[in-house]
Amino acid sequence: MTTRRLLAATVVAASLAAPVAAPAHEGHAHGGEEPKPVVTTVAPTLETSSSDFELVAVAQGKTLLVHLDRFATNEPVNGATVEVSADGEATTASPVSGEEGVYRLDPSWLSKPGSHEVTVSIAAADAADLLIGTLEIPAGAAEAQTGGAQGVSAVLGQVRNDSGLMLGAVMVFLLGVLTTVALTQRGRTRTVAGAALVGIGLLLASGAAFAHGGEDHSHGDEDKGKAPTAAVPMGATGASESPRRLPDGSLYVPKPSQRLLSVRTVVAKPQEAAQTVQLIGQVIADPNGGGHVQATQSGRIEPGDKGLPYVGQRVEAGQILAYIAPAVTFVDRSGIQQQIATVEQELVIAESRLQRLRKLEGSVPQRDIEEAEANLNGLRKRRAALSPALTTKEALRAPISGVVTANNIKAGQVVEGRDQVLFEIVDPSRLMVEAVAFDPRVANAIKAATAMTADGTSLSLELLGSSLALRQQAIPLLFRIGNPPSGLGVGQPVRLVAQVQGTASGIVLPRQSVVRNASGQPIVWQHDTPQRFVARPVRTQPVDGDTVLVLAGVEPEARIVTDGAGLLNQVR
Amino acid sequence: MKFSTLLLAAALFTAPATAFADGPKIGPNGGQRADAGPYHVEVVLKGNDVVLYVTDGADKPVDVTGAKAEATVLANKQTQKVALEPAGGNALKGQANLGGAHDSVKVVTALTMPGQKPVQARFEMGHAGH
Repeated sequence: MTTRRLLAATVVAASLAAPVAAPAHEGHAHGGEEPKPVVTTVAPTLETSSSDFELVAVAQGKTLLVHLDRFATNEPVNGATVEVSADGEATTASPVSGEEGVYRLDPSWLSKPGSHEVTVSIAAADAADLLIGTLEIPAGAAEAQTGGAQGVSAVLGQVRNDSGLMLGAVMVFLLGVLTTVALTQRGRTRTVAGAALVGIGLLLASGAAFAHGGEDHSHGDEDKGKAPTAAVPMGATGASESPRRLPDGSLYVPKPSQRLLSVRTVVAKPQEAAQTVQLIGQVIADPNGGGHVQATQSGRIEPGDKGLPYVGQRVEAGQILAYIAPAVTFVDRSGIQQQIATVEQELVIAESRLQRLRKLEGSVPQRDIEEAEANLNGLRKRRAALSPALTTKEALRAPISGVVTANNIKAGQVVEGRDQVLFEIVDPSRLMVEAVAFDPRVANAIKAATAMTADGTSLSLELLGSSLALRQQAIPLLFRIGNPPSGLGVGQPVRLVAQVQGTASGIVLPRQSVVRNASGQPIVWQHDTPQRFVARPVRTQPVDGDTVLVLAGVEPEARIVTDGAGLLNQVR
Repeated sequence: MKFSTLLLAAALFTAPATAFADGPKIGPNGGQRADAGPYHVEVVLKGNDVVLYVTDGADKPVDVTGAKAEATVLANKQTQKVALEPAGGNALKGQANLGGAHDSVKVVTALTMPGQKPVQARFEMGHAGH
């Protein structure tokens, strides 16, 4: 009998506690009967915005921290004069040093529990504004600050202030009493019935409590400034101020985290953009900006004055890269020496003959003298032509200025003439992109294009022309790269976005705005309320290498995250 | 099907429509209108006069005898506070120094009806009709 009474008493106690513990109303945990007070309470927050500014004020103890940002870009606003008025008291906030766009003030009304109608007057360099909102200072938070023990009276006061909680409490209390009566009677079936009653009572209590929490901007007892606060129920009830994903998939990102991730937004504006197609291509050298160095005869490589050029070295047009000492076979060599001997022998004879004839000048015909002179000159020239054949080297010169991209030889190497490329030189300022298009209509419609390399470098391309001959059923297209960036390599694959005739309308966003969700769908993050971001699945089409056109999924005037979208996407 | 069921269905269908029907942004006196707690308030700037008209949620004029109101006016980058006194009917009136500029003037009103907590509303002049 005593155990049953004990059980009954426990049920009554539980039914009393249930409606208070179940609803976490407005973000403060009631640490009722627990010996330790709850430490981690989310600070009361005021969120408000206008067409110029976005403001989040967080009450931390007796201090109100005001985070001020631009509405459109989410940039922190520095150097503004922020004056906060509530309960007839106007306080000018002072900027927090070392933090961007954070202002602090210690108004006296902050320690008074209840709702405060707050007016914030902002005067920045370029804009001035008035913002309003309601800041709810919970009674529990105020008591915790003053160090008073959070007792049953505080909880009861909370219940009394709230009609929904009151109703739940009364209902569950009545059910508890009924259950007690049922349990003190004899019989097992009544016990089961009593347990069922308790269950129903608890369900009703939680239902009543949560129905109250979901209340939004209803005409009458709610306030305008309160609506944004109610829009983040999980943000308000959560324990820690860290960015997190809410059950509906949206993100709650407190202002300090937004600053840390340097989240920036852009206001979506519908625009017309050219239709685009995507092609695959690769970087090639301009035929006028690339050169090969080859030998015209076989021979042995000898380094030039500055040594053999290495790969990556810059060379100027006409610079001697190497010499080739012609390879002369033994038979050839003896043949040439034989010829030289013959010519020298004839030279001696011709010289002595000419001298003899000159002495007899006047008595011999002038024609003979001239013949002898011509013969001597011819022999001298033959001698001159023959003598260096064994020693002269061929100079290999750079055909263009550029950078050596290949060096296939070493000093002393014997090379064959013609078929071997000794050096390749590319002019890095004159590179081209060759792409292939499979649709002839696309190939003819392309006007301009941009290309993206794998590391994200954007190249602007100018169409030079397309081939009339298909190559593997595709049309080669040639583009010139305007101002090629350094570090571009011949043969590097690039992705081209080419603009074709016709336009598409949508919202132009930077490429970094579009991220992928867990299922791989492209999304953008919309800045919905000051501390809430919503994922919007989008359909996109590239505009050029850096921007995309959102065809569907984003409403005009929505604020879309540009910087930090990838980081937001990581929030779990 | 009972008639009452139909009635209930009809009521359920119209409920969200009435809930979201905030009405036009321009009030019956030609000024901007906004929600302030359970009321609709309308602000009209005439010269240097600031007039606040108070109606209830169904746009019926509310007697403002005994009510207090304060307007914070931001004009030409200057913030000024204007006390508005009941001026008969549902109007409260006050004087502000607007310098003739009615565009890009921002007004915040705090209305305290007798025995109630203050309720705020915000207006941006020169942005009417958006």
